[in-house]
Order: sequence, then C-alpha cells, then structure tokens
Amino acid sequence: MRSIKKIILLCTLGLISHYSQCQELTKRSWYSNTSIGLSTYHFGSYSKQRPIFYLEQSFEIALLRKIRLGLGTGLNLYPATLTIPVFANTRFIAASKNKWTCYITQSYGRNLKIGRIGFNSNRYTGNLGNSFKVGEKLWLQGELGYLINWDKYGGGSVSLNLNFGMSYKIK
Amino acid sequence: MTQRKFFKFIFFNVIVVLICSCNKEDVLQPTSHLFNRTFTKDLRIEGHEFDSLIIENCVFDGATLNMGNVDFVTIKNCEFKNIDGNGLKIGFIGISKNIRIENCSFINIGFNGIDSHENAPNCVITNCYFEDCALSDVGSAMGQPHHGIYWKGKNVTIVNNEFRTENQNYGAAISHRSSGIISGNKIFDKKGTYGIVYFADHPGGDSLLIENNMLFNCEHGIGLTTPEIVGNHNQNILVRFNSVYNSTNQCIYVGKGFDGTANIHIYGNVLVQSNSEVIVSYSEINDYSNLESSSDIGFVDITNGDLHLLPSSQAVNYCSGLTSYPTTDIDGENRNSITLDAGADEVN
Repeated sequence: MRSIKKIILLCTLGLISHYSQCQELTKRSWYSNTSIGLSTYHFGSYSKQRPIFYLEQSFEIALLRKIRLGLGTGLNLYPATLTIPVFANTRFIAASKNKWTCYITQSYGRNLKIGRIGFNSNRYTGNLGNSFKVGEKLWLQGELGYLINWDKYGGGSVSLNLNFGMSYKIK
Repeated sequence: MTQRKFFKFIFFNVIVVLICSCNKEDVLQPTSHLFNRTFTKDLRIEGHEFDSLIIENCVFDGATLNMGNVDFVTIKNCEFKNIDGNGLKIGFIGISKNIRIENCSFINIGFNGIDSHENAPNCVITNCYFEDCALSDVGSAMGQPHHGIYWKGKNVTIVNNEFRTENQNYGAAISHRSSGIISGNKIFDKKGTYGIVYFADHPGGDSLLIENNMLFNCEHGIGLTTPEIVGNHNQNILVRFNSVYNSTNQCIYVGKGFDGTANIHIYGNVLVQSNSEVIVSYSEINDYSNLESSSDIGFVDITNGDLHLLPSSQAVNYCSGLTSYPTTDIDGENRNSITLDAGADEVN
C-alpha cells in the first residue's frame, strides 16, 4: 500500500508540473467549495453495501489559469462509523464553454480518529465534474468519481462517488 | 495533444499500481512436515496430498497461510506476525476438515488473526496467543470489522487461548458464527465491541458452549446475536461458568430473534459491572445461579486482570447443587457439585 501511496503522490505532482509548463500565471483567485454527496457500491472485500454520505468544504486558490490547489475537511458518515477527513486537492479545468466548465479533481488525505469517533485510513478521491455559472461569483456543480480508502494494515475499499455542491469565488 | 498525454500518463500509472499490488504466493511442494521455515511471501497449501501435514516452528512474517482442500493438518509452535491481511485462512479454497492450531502466536495482524470459511468443520484452536490483531479500521468503517478469531465452520473447539486487544478498535476477540466450544480463553481490554460474540449468520448445529472464559475490561462481555435467519441457529446455547469483569456495557447480551429456535441457558457465571444491567436479553433465556455484582467479589489480582478466586470469594460454593457444569475449570482443575464455585475458576 505504501508503494501505491507514493505512486499516487507522484501522479498528482506529475500532473501539476506537466501542466504548469504550459500554463500562464494568472491572477490568484480564491474559491470556496461546498459539496454533499454519497459513495456507494463498494468494490473489494467489504460486502456491506450501505452508502457513505458526506459533507465537505474546501478552499482553493487558482495558481494557474487551469489549475487550482486547495485544502479541505468535512464530515463523512460511513456504514458503521463517521469520520473527519482532511485532504489536499487539485482541480484541473479541462474545458470551458459559455457558462459550463468541465473539470477534474483529485484529492489525497486522511480520515481521522478523534477519541471514539472516526477511523484511521488514507483516502484518495478523483472526480469528473461539471459546473454551471449561476451568478457573478457562484457556480453549481455536479461530480462523478471514485473514493479509495486504505490503511497500512492491508484494508482497502473503492467506492463510486456522486456529489453536488457549489463553488463561490471569494476574491 | 495535451489531453492525450494526460490520459497516457494516467494509464501508465494505473498499470504500475496494478503491478505493484500483485503479491505472489509461494506454492508448497508435497511434504509431510514443514519444520523451522520462515515465510515472507503468502503460502498456499492446497490439495489432499498435504493431508496430515505438520507445520511446526515456522514463522510467517508478513505472509498469510491459506489452506484449502486439505484435512488433518496440524500447525503448532508457529509465529504469525506483521501481516497486512489475515494471518491464517482456512477453507476458502476448498473444504478443510480437522485442522488443528496449537501454541501459535498471532501478533500485529491487519485483518483477522484466523479466518475460516464455512468449509472448515471440526477444527481446534488451542493455547494460542493473539496480540494486536484486526488493526485495519477500513473494514470496520465499512461495516465489516475484523476479529482475533473469525470462525464460520461447524463444531470448532476454541480453548485456552489468550487475547491482548488494547489496540484493536473494532471487531471481537472471538467472533463465532456456528457451533462448537469456546472455553478457557482469557480476553483482556477488548475495546469497541464484544470479547466473545456469537452471530448466527452462518449455519449452526446442535450446540454452542461458551464456558470457563475470563473477560477483563471489555467494552461488552459475551454477546449472542442473530440476523434472524432461524435455520442457522444452534439448537442449544449454553453460556456458563465464565468470569466477566468490568465490561463498559452489559456483561452478557442476548439479541432478539432466538425465541422458539434456540434454547439459551445462562448460569454459573460471575458477572461484575457497575455501569448498567449485567445481563440484557431481548430473547427468552433461562438465567440462574449467576453471581452478579457491581464490585470485586474476591478475585486474586483485579489490577492485573487475574480473575482467579480467593478462597474467601463470594463465588466459592455459589453454585453448589447444580448438576450440569463443566467437569474442569479454566486451569483444568476438577469441579464437583458439592463445592461448585461460580465463574471460570474453581477453588479447591
């Protein structure tokens, strides 16, 4: 699992560095993203197919014209427990037309155990999303993707994501 | 062009991840005795050419032992440690009967120390030591926790094992799903859930006997629960002569759904708990001659979890006159009806 973790990190860094070469620096805007969603059908050995519900909040900065980096947290309700994830995420703007924007997000983080609440694991998510501009600074967005949880003891699960949210340009 | 490069990049990384995740198993050549070997890759023992194999003094360091289609194997004096996954798997690749596991240790195991399929009847686990098993939390969060022993085969005998579970956040020390005997086990500090639990989600048999066990500082003591698949229930379930001290919640819990399908008798136990009811049941049970208390009833060394009885203990002779009892106590000492003590220990 550690090798997978390294590869995922390298993959993310590679993606960022690759695109940074061909992007021009732009004015650094800040965004707030709030999303609710669920993850369901869990692949792997875990047969309890109840969904994971989550509410997450992240803040992103547009470092490049098509790339944003951010940090986030939230509350995830798992089939048997809940947890507080913390994560770093990247957003790549793949295409934009009129009020529609297509993007890819990748995030890596940890699920935390605080006292008797939560559980320890790594998490990695990837989503393909579409946002629609509804105001001067406001976008509504829908995403489809995957959630991977794993820990150093061999535990792992892969789930499909569906979430909705909004993005607000802070400045 | 840029997008094509991007997808190539992702594809390449997915392939690398898949290759890295492969963990090849060692396949054993036919032999009758494996002695003093160390395995660092998973070992698969499959086929009746291995019947009556003895695996002795072997170390499984980061390696799972997976057995199937093989009978009468003895695993003794072996060490299972540092395993990301299950320590020992029995019956998942074919029926494995009469497997005996004795004097083995299971330390720092990610999933179950021992995991069996239904295809593992008549097995014995005795005098084994379990410490820090079921460490992976992901399965637990998904509703499928791991355990020290997770047994689904019929007629198992789990006797005289010791469980140290301080770092096991979820799952039970012993999670049994079928019939057999669970006797003489010592379980310390089981957080999160039960020390011993019977959950009837796999076919049972005539009886399940839980006796002579000592459970110290567990979140819950002994649990009998069912998803109400009545065909799975053991016909008779006896929970007797156990010592359960200071569980955070009830010492013995019986869930709903057993009525009319399982005769449950709970007697002769020493149950010490100060927080809530000692026995909680949502099914019809016969409970009698249990010594229930909210404080020390005279144990030898409660600070260190020694639940043997002092001669002056309230439990001494508490069950005198009962005609059905284990013939010996947790230490193998004889019991008799006239001076019959409650709990796992008999003071002679």
